[in-house]
Amino acid sequence: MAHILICDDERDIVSALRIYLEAEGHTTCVAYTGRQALDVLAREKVQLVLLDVMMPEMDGIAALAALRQQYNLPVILLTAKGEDTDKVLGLNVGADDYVTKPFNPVELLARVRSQLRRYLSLGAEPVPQEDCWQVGGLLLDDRQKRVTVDGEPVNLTPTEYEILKLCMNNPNKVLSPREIYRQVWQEDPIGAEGLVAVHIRHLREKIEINPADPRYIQMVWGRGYVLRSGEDV
Amino acid sequence: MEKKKRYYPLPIRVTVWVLTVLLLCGGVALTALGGVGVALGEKATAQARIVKPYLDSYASKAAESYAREGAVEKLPAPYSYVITNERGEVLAATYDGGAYLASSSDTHHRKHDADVTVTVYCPPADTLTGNSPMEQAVRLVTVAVSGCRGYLIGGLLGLCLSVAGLVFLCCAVGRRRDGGVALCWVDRIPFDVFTLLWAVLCGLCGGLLRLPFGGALRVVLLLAAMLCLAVLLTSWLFSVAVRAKSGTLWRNTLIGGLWRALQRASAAAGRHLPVVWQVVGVLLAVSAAELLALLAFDLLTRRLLVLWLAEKVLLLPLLLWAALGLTRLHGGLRRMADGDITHQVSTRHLTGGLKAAAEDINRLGDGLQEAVEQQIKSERMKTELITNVSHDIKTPLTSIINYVDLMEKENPEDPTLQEYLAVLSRQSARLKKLVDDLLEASKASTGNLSVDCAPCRLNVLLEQVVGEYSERAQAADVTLCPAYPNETVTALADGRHLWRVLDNLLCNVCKYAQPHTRAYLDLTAEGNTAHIVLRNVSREALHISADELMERFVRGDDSRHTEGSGLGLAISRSLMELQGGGLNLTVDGDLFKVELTLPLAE
Repeated sequence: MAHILICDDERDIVSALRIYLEAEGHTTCVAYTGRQALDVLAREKVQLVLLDVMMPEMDGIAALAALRQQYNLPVILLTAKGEDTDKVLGLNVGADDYVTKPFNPVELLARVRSQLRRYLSLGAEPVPQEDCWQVGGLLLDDRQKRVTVDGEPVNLTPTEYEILKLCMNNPNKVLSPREIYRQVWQEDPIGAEGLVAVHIRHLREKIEINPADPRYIQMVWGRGYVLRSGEDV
Repeated sequence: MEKKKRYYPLPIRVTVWVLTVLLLCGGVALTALGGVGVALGEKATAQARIVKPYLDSYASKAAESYAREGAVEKLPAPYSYVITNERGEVLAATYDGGAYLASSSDTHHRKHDADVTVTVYCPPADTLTGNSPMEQAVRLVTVAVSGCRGYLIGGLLGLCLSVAGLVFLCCAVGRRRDGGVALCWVDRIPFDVFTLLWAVLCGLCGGLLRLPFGGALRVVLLLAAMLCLAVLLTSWLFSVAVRAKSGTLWRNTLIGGLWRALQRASAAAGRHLPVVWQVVGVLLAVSAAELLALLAFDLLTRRLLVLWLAEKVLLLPLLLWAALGLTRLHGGLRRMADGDITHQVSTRHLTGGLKAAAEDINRLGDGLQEAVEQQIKSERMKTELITNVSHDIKTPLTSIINYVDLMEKENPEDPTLQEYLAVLSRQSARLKKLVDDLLEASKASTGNLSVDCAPCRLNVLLEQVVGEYSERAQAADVTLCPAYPNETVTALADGRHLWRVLDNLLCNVCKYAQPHTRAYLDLTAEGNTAHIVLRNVSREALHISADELMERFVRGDDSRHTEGSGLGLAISRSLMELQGGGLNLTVDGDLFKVELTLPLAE
């Protein structure tokens, strides 16, 4: 298991996080300011950082910018600031994920697992072969009709599988429900596009850590759905 | 008041009118007669005073003719005379020395002869039975003086009665059976024209008296003129009464009409013509009027013309300068009224009142700007305060949630403890939601949110939303019935915000709708607006009005035990308003109806 740095000026949160992470089998080290975090990183071999944004001495964004100059390890920002602009800023500076306080421990642990898997085991995976598509931690192998998220296999119904395949074939392209219906059901939707929304919802519940804040299949309200890939995932 | 409005049929009114006119004429005549009688005083003196002018004129005529021709031409019937010289010797006489009413003497001075004095006598009044003007006058005076008190009283009584009749008629005239006011064609003539017409007619009546008729015909003429005058004056009075009642007395005048037309024209000119042209127009009109007046009264001399022209030439640039200043002030005010409160009016080339006005406008702008900045600043501070407080609340809340979660994982044996932990867990989740909603409500209501309006296909969006909610609605035992038009409705909206609104509303449906019912979601386009209407039946009786529901922190259920902050509808409305749309809430019994409006995309 991994060695994780927890950095937050709120000691109670730090100890709660230690308890959760150590229960999962990780080892932890702690820092209470951005500067301490950089010191710890210099001293110890750390595989993942949980970083608060609002901290004394050096805030999370500054610390993140500083550590990104040296380290490649995954960083999850952990903050009370939940606005879109804060998220965009954090991700742009170099965070790999963004969790807002108060967080759900289960979700946080899932995100930690996901980041670790990507960093430790999948990070170096070679470019997938023919009939395989990969977007972030999402992998679709069409020969085996198998889908994995961060290495974990996911059970999809045939319709969900077809929709995901269509989306992965057209990454970053907005697909309207009508288009998806035509491609997947192979017939004209006559007032049946509503079905697509239901299937997409199920699909999201299966492949996303937090379906209300999806990483992969995102809603473009009033236009359709898009599978995000590349830098902005 | 009630009596005034009673309706009187036409025959009654005409009868009263005829009586009034007759009473008026009689009253005026009798009063005049009685007045003359009283003024003349005692009978014999009065008769003598009336006769005197006639006697004087005859005496002087007779003296002159005697002096010139040595004889007196024959005097008319009742008169007699005595001619004496300066020594009192009687030269000629027709006077018999009897009783007489009055006498008059006149002496004529001759250059080469003795003066002569002629004395003319008038016999007593009772012997005057002829038809000469003098005798008629004496008879009239006799009548007037002998019954003067009676005539005066009778005349005044008649006048009083006629005034009463007039008052009655003024009240009754023009009144319709239903209490309204009827205008006849006479009352529709503009009042000033009508009055002028009636004055001319009165003048014509007066002209009747100038006709050269004497004797009985003259009396008839006099009576006719009086009657005509009375009819004209009373009818004028009635028309005034009718006009006053219908309120057209001043409105329906030619002068008023012209004045109003002029006002309208000048108002129109004021709106559409630049100030400079208005000033030039007024100056030209005034100059033309002055010139015409000078020409009409023949006052225009060469010197005056030069002076006049010089005045105009001096006046024009002065007025233009003032007009340009006004235009500049007006332009500045208009730009400020249109929202550009940073605009400053240039005070260059302005002096006096105009400069002061420009400076005041600039100060006004500064004040406004300052007030707006203050307002923005205070709003921003409020939002920032709420944001910061929310962040500060979230940190301890995180610990609470985490440690409650950890305690739950410890699996306490004691069921009471488990129950308490469940309460803590539920309440901390609720607090989290409350803080999030508070933050969002504050941002949405102050417009502190980025809004990215783009053409959005509402059919697709609603399909997506319904897809998201189909299972939750099923779980709440509510059937969602969406209805879209066949053609795509594309509105200008920010999809994320619109989703938040619909998310909120459908979440309410799942929470508060009566199980086993349908919730209708209709999309329509009307004119330039797209309407999304959501209707459902509330589970709990809604005891509060739609307005109260919209207010923050209010929820339909009396007991506040369900989850949610009560901010949902307020946030939704703010979000819709940020997108240039609206949210309307109707509560009709248990029917809960929300209508969203959005501008259609072109």
